[in-house]
Amino acid sequence: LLFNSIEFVVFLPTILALYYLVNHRWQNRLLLAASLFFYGAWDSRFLWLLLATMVVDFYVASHLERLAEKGAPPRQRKTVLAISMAANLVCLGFFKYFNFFVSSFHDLLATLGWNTNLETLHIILPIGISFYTFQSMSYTIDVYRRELKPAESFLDFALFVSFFPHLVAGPIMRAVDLLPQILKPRKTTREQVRDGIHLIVWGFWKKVFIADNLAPIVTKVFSMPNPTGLETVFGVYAFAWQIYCDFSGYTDIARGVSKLMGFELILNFNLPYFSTNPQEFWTRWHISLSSWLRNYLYIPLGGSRISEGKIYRNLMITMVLGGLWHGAAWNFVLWGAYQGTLLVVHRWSKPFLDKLFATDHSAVAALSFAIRWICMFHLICYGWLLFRAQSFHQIKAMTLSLFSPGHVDGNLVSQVVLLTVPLFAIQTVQYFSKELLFLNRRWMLTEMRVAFYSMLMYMVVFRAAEGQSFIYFQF
Amino acid sequence: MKRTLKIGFRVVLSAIIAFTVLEVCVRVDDLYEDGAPFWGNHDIDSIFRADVVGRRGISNARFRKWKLNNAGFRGPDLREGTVRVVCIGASETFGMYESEDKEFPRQLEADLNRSAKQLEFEVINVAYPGQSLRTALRRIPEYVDLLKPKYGLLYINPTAYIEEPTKAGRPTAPKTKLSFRIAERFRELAKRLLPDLIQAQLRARNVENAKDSLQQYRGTVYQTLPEGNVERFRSELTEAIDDLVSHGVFPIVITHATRFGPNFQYEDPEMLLNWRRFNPGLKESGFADMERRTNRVVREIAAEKGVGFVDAAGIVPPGPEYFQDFVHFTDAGAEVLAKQTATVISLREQSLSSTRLSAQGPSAVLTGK
Repeated sequence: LLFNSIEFVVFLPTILALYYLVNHRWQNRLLLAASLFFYGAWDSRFLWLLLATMVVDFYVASHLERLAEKGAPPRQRKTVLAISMAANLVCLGFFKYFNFFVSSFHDLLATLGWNTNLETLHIILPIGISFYTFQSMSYTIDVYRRELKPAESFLDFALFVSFFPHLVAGPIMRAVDLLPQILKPRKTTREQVRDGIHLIVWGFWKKVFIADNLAPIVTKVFSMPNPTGLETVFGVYAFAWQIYCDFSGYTDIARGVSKLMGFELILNFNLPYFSTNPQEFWTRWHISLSSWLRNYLYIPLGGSRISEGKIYRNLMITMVLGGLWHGAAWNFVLWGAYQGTLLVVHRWSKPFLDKLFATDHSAVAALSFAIRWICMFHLICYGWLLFRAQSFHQIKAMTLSLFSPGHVDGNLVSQVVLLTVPLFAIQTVQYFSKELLFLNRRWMLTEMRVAFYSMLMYMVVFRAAEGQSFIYFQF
Repeated sequence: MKRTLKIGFRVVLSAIIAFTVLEVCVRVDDLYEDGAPFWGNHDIDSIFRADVVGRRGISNARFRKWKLNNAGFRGPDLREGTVRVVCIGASETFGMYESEDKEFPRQLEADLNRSAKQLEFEVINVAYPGQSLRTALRRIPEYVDLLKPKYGLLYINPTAYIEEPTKAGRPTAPKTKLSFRIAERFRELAKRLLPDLIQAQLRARNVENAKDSLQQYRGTVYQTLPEGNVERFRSELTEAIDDLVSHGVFPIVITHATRFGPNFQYEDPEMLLNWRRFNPGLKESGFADMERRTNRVVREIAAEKGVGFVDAAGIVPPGPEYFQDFVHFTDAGAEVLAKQTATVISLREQSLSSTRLSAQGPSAVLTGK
C-alpha cells in the first residue's frame, strides 16, 4: 500500500476506527495485523523474509539477555550477536547488492583482460528492506550493549519491526525509542491529533503536489543528451526539492499517522537546506539514518576520540557505506565519498572558518549566514547531481555543462520557481520562528488552520501530477 | 448544552470555511490555467458566445483540454502557406472525449502530413458542439473568406432534424448561473475513484431518471423520422455542397457513425436511452431508421454530385473501443475516421497532380459513384 493511494485513504480510517475501539493489548495485535497486511499488499512473498528477520533477531536478543544474566563471557555473547548481524547482512547483501557486486567484479576482471561468464540473477528488491533490517539490527545491538531489555512478547517485537507507518521508508526507529511506546498503554492526546493532522496534510502536499510535479521536470533534464549549464542547474534544483519533498513528505505522513495512534516517531528532517555546513546538514537530513550510522558504525570505529587522521578515515568509511545504503550503484558510492569529503574538509577547515565568520555585528552575521547557506545549498545540490545521474558519463557531461550556462526554457524555470518558492517561503518562516508545526501556534485559530489545510488539500487532490512512487522505496 | 452548541457552531463554521477556500482555489486555478473569469461560469459553454447566426468560439478561450485558437476554432493558431481542410460538424468533430490533440481533425492533419511529400496540410476544426448543418450553412461564406480552404469536410449529426427548425432569435449572452465549481470537481473525482459496483448503481439510477424525464416530455414524439425532415436534411446538405463548390472548395461528405454499427446492434441498450435523452422527440426504435435513411441520403448526394465520400458508418467499428458514448469517438474511433479521410484526400491530391483533372472530376473510387 502506498500512502498516496486511494486504498490507503480507506485503510487508514478503518484501522483508526478499530484502534480507538479496543484496549491496549488488542490495539497492538490490530496494528501488527494491519502492518503485515500493509506490507503483504505489495508482495506477500516477502512477508516471509520480514518474519524471518523478526524471528532471528527476537531469539538472538532473548539468548543474549539470558547469557548476560548467566554471566557468560563477552566472546560468547559476541558470537551470538554475530549470528544476527550475519543473518541481516546476508539478507540485505543478497537482495540488494548481489547483482551489483557480481557485475562490478565482472567489469573489474574484464578491464584486467579476463573475460568471465558471471551471471546476475533476477532479484526483486524487497521494499523497505534497508529500513527494517537496520531497525532490527539496532535492537539486537542495543540488547547486546545492555542498553535495552529484550521484548518479552514476540508479537510486541514484531510490531516494533513492522509498524506500518514507518516500515518501508523510515524513520529508522531505535528500539529504545519505540519499544517502550508499544509496551505501555497509549492515550492519544488532543495535541497529538492536532499535530498529526498537520503533519499528514503537510506531508501529502510536499509529496503529491511538490515532489510529483517536479518529477517530470527532473526526468526531462536528466534525459537530455547534452543539457546546457542552466538546464543542469534548474534540473538539479528541481531534484533537490523533489527528493526532499518526496522523502520528508513520507516521513511527515508516517509521523502524523503515528501521532493519531498515540505514538511519537523521531524527527527525520529538520529544514536541511538551511544548513550552513556539512556537519549541520547531517544533523538535519535523514536524521534517523545519520544517527544510526553514528551510533552503530562511526562511534564503534573510534568516533571522534582518536587521532585526526583516523577521524577522517572513519568519516569517509561511514559516509561511503551510508552512500551504498542508498542503492547498489557506483554513483551512490561516489555520492557517499563526496559527502565524506565535505565532512572531512569542513572538519579540517573549521577553526579557520569559525575565525573568518566570527563577528558581533548583526548585519555582518546575517551576510555571513547568507554566504555560508548559499554555498552549502549548492554543495548539497552538486551532491544530488551525483546521486541522480545514471552514469559516470552523465556526471561528467553535466558537470562540464556548468561551465557554459547556455540557454534554458523559460517554462522549465517558471515551473521550478512556482513549485519551490512557496515552500521555501514557508520553510523560511519555520526556520526563523524555530517552529516546524508552524500552524499549531497558540494564537492560530482552528478556523485558520482549516482554511490552510483546505488550500493544501485542494492542491493535493486536484493538482497532483501522475502518481509517483516514493523515491526512498527503492533504498 | 452550551458547550455542545459551541462545538457544533465551530464545526459548521469550519465546514463553511473549508468549502469557501476550496471554491476560491478552483476559481483561482481556472483563472491561472484557462484564463477563466473569477466570477461567472466556467464550463465548456463559456468558451463560446452567440451571434446572429448562432454559437461561435471566443478567440483563445480555454476550458481544460478544449483550447480555441485566435480565430475561435479548436486547435492551434492558423498558419500561412498550407493546404487547408475545414471540418464542418458538431460535437463529434469538435471532439469531446478524445485525449488532447487526438480529436478527428488533429489526427487527420497528422496523417495527411505524414503521407504528404511536398505539401503541408492544415486541418481547421470549425465544428462546435450542437452546431447544426443549418447554422454551418450560414457560416460557409465566412469560413471560405477567412480560411480559403481547398477541402471542406461535412460530418453531420442527423439528430438536429428530429425537431422542427426554430427561427434564429436575437443572440443572448449565456446566463450566469450560481454554481459551485468545487462540487463539479468532486463529482468528476468520484466518477474516477468510486468502485465499479457503486458506479453501476449510479448509472442504473441515471437510467431510471432518464426514463422518468422522457415520460414527462410533452412535445411530439415520432416513431420514425418524418420524410419531410429527411428531405430537409437532403436539401440543406445539397445546398452546403453547392455553396462549397461555388467557392472552389472540394466537399467531402461523411456518413454518420454510431456506437451501434450499421446494423444497429447494441451491447448496452441503456446507451440508446441516453442518446434519446438529448433528443426526446424520437422513440428509441426510430434512431436506427433515422441513421439508415440520412446516411443513404449522404451516399446518394455524394454520388450525384461527384464529391468526396467517406463511409464512416461502414468503417468505424461499433462498440466501446471506438465510441465513448453513442456517437462520440474515442481516440481509436477518431483514428479510424482520420485515416480513411486522409486516404481520400491523398488520392485526390495524387489524381490532381498526375492527371491534372479539375476539381469536378474525381475518380469513382473517391466518390459515391
